[in-house]
Amino acid sequence: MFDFLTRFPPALVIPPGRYGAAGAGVIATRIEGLEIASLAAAPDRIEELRGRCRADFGLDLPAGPRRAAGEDVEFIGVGPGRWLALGGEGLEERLRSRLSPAAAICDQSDGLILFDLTGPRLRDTLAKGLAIDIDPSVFRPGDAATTAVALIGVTFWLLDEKPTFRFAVPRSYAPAFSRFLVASAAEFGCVVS
Amino acid sequence: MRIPCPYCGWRDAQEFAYLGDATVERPDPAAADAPARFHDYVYLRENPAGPHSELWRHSAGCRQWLAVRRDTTTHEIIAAEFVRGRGARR
Amino acid sequence: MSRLRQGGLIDRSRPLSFSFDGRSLAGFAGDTLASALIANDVALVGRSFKYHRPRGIFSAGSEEPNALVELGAGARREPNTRATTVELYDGLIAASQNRWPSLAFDLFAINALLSPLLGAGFYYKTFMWPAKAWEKIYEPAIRRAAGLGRASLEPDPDAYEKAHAFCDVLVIGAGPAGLMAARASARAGARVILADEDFLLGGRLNAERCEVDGEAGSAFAANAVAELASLPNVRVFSRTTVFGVYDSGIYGALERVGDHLAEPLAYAPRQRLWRIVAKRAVLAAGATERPIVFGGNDRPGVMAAQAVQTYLNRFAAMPARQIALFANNDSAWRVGLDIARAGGEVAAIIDIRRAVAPTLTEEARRLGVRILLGGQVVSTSGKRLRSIKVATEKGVERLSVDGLAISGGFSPNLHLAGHHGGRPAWKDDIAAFVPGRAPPGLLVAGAAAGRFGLAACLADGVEKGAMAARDLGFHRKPDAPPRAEDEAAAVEPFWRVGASRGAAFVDFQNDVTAKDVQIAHAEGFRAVEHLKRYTTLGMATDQGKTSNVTGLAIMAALAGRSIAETGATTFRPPYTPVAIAAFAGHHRGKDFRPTRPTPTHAWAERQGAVFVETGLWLRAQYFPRAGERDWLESVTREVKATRASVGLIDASTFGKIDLQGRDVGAFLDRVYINTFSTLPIGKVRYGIMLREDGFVMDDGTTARLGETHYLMTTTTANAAKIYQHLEFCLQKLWPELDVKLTSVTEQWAQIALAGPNARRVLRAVIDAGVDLSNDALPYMGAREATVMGGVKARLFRVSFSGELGYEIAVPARHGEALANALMEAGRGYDIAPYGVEALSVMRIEKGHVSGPELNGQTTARDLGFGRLASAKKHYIGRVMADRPALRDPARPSLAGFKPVDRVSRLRAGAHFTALGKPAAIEHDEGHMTSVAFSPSLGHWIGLGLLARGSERIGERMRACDPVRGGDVEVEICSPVFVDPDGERLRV
Ligand SMILES: [Zn+2]
Repeated sequence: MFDFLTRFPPALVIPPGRYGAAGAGVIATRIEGLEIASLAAAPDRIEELRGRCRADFGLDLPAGPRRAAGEDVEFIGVGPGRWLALGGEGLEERLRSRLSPAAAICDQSDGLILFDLTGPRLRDTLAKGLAIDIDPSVFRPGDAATTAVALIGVTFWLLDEKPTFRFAVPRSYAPAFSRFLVASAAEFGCVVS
Repeated sequence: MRIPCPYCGWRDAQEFAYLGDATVERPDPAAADAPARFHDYVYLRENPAGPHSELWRHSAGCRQWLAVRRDTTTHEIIAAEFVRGRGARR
Repeated sequence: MSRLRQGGLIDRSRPLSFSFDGRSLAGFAGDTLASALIANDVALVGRSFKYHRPRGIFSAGSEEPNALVELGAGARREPNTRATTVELYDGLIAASQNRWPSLAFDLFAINALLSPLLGAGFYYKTFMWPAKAWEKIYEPAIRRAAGLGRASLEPDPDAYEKAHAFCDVLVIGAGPAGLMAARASARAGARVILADEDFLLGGRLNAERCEVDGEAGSAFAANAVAELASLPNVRVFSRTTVFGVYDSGIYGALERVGDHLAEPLAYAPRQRLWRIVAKRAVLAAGATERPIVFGGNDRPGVMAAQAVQTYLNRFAAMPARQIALFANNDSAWRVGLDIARAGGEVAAIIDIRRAVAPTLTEEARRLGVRILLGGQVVSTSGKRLRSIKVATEKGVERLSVDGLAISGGFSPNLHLAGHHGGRPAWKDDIAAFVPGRAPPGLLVAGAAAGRFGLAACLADGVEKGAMAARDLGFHRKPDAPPRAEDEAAAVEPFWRVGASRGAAFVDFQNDVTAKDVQIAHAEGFRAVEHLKRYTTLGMATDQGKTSNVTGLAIMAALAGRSIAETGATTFRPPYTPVAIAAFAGHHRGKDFRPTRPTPTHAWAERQGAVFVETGLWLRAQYFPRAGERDWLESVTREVKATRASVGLIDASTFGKIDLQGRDVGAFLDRVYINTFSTLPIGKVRYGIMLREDGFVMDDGTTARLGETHYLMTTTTANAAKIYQHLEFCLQKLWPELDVKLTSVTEQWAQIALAGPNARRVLRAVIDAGVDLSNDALPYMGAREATVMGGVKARLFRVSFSGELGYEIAVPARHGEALANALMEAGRGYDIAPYGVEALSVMRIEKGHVSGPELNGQTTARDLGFGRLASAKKHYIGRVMADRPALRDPARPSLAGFKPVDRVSRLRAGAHFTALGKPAAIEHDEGHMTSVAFSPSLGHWIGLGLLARGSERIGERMRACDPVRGGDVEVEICSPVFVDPDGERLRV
């Protein structure tokens, strides 16, 4: 068992620092300052919602597990008729004023914690928890998935080819997620910033 | 086992919750013979050896209930579709 | 030293030292423990499972039945490790096992004399009577005498992990067929994973003297591996055993990441369990040589012929000085020739056949090797082999040898092909089973498919690799297979020397002899699956890799059936043993499952909370203060403080489901027994949900926040289940309803503030302009507000404790600040944080049902909610709840209980019987579900489910708890012990 797993209590998100072997095979950064909201639309309102998004945000709501990003808002498909929206301050109100009642909108800014993960050994690390194929030939920038990693329900998407993956983790699961991540990246060297 | 979710793609069965027979339909509770029909609905299930329609929920993914056609003797997954949109009644 | 002066694929520039049974020995990098022992002339390495017979090394691979050792020391001691698969490292410590006091002199060898008692079925026959003696005498004695190695009792210091991989084509085995399959698939463009259990890839190419494309087999293998490793679409896993084929193209594999090191590298796991999802797979796992059954065939020095060849060619270690060969096939002849060419002494090649290909006999004669055709080994002698007796038509002859290489032919390693139940098919021409119906997507190539020649293996590999890729749309004309020759491979089926003397072993590891098979036959256990279980043939850790086919062939002969008719036993994963730790991976100890802290966790920690796991959540159980002797004292203080003034608890763990849409009211009416469509905006209502079978599923409160907007709370335990149930109702039952569900459990921190001073405390944190008066926010009212200077909040005037109460929800990041603000505001009122214990005490005092009462066997009526159920609407569970048995007034229903002698303690789980009746099942009238020491009443109280309970107030019963010796006379009372009219809630 790795020292940091016994050193930190299981209810704590592993704090910034360098863990495991020397090097920076994986770099994890907590992202703050983005607001998050969930959108849910009834099947017969999805087209209407899509039209409004196009008109008001200039974005096509993804029909599958993908990301559509504009200047001040982005949408991630998480299920049929369901999206996560991310954006700057006042997101919920902005969405509500333009998209309600075509969609039910709920603030999730405090319910989800965002982590950006990158590094040369990131895919090897994530393979220890993700049961889906994230090979660059299969999972491309803009692709998203909602799945379980180490028994934790997450939504993640690929931002760029570096690669940078952004993970949205339910708040109460953030400690367990951080423990899985740091333990899995330890052999490659893990930097939590 | 892996199940092809129509939204998420192929996923491990571990991501899904199982509810069994998808062929039973909830009876009309106002029908005169509702008690007998509900008895069957709640307790009676086919358990065929071979292709069978089953309810699975993609709990760790898109959270949709699926009707999955599975061969119970080989675990071959023949098809999977959302139950919503199948014209379910009541 | 039996190490040859030159040759082999060991690295002589890297000597390694190791110890066996305390003896310090030397080997080289590239050795296995077995090859190093052989090079050090160690022949005796263990004692057998049942008879404690001395045993040596039999094979050179994972099929090894004999050479099981304890590896490592202290916490890393691992029993039953096959010396033939252990890669030698510097400082390796190994010990023989299953012997006492020493390997050379083992007292339990007396078991061998008892062998008539320990034969087939002895468990069932010998120790039947008296039954009592089994547990106390026989079993412990057998367990001491028989058995394998000792596991370390210390916690495993190493890390393990699981990982997932995806590919187009998985190639299992990196021998000639596997290498070619991987190359053909990869060159066609498929994503390929090549896995082999060995640390050196190449399979038999490294063990036999052969040429491929004009170069030595081992060099060809190394080049092929190098090419594969250089390709971006190929991953090569050495030290990785694919052990199982599961559904939908999932393969289980174990990678031994750190087992070839004294300790795993820092921060690396010891082992990694791979779950490989492959669209196609090629099984190229080779074949296993079978022993021949004759008296004394288990003596140290008797070895599989191919193993001798492997030690000789790959490890440059000669297993014996004078070696005889005993075989029924051509392959063993090449082993003899290899020995002679390496300068070893071949005493004789004994073949049961009278005619053998002249190419082999001529070469043997040329090398001066004696040939005994039509010969059979009938006995052996020596603790370590010293001589054998050979019977030919000329009579019996004694040969002085210290090594005997035996070969009864080859069994394709088809195990994985049978993991989906496909039965192997018998092929007479090669005297072996070949794979039958393989799992979908799995092709079998090379020796595993019964193609034993080198050229045939290479060609088959190319063909199957290309075929797998082509199936997936990777079209490329495969290259011609490399040039090689097919060796002579004739075989004549032969299993057992009939006229031999002494115990003749079929299964070395489980000590099953030919005689045991005879006994099974005589006693009617003739089907292969019966044979297996009655004799334990093939049930040891090696799963009978060297013994199964021989055992069933002997049974077939006894029964007068063909082997094809007899059939083989079922193959199941794992192919070789896998440590449980590898299946657990990261999930052990505190990481067994996720731990979910509440939003106020850090605050509770600072308050000195003792935490308790409730499901995945970590919640404050109670908050001990200096001077308090036990939890009960702390809990009692918390309850008293709350009832007398004010207390607070984090209630964030309740499930919170946001419902929006024009049909939410109608939807709630269908899932709750009571009506929610009529709930006014700004109000909260308590509701009960049933399962479709009429029993209670969950309870909770739902608030109406707007015309089309509700917020439901569920119990902590059922949050996920209820969400799933509601989704089922909406997606499957009533897709026409416009209702959108969103879980907002994680978004909101929710703190319950309770007690007569709750309003005063709340007033201090709420922003100006929010009217908290009883008129503006009455009991069961709800509203939005802001707290702490602009933090958006939701207020619910609900109470689980029975006191004036509010639940205040704020976005989770503000939860801790809210707790601090409430504590600060409550300082003048002696505010007390309380935990789930005090919460439970207060809910029992109020007669509120919880988990122990919502146990899946109670109806709404049982719990006193009969009148809540609406008769004007249809809802889930209504029809079935109306069944006569569920309406029977004699059903156990909720009641309260007090000890008649007020100092007595009550116990949850105690059963009720009438006074004077014995505590027996026929007098059982129900049970106590929840108990608490009530600080408000000063004695223990309980809730329970008692037949006609609600009608029997004032009666007395026995509450018997035989498990803990409790037998208390109790008085039946109302389940509401405190404030029965609910006046405190409404102030
Ligand atoms: Zn899905």
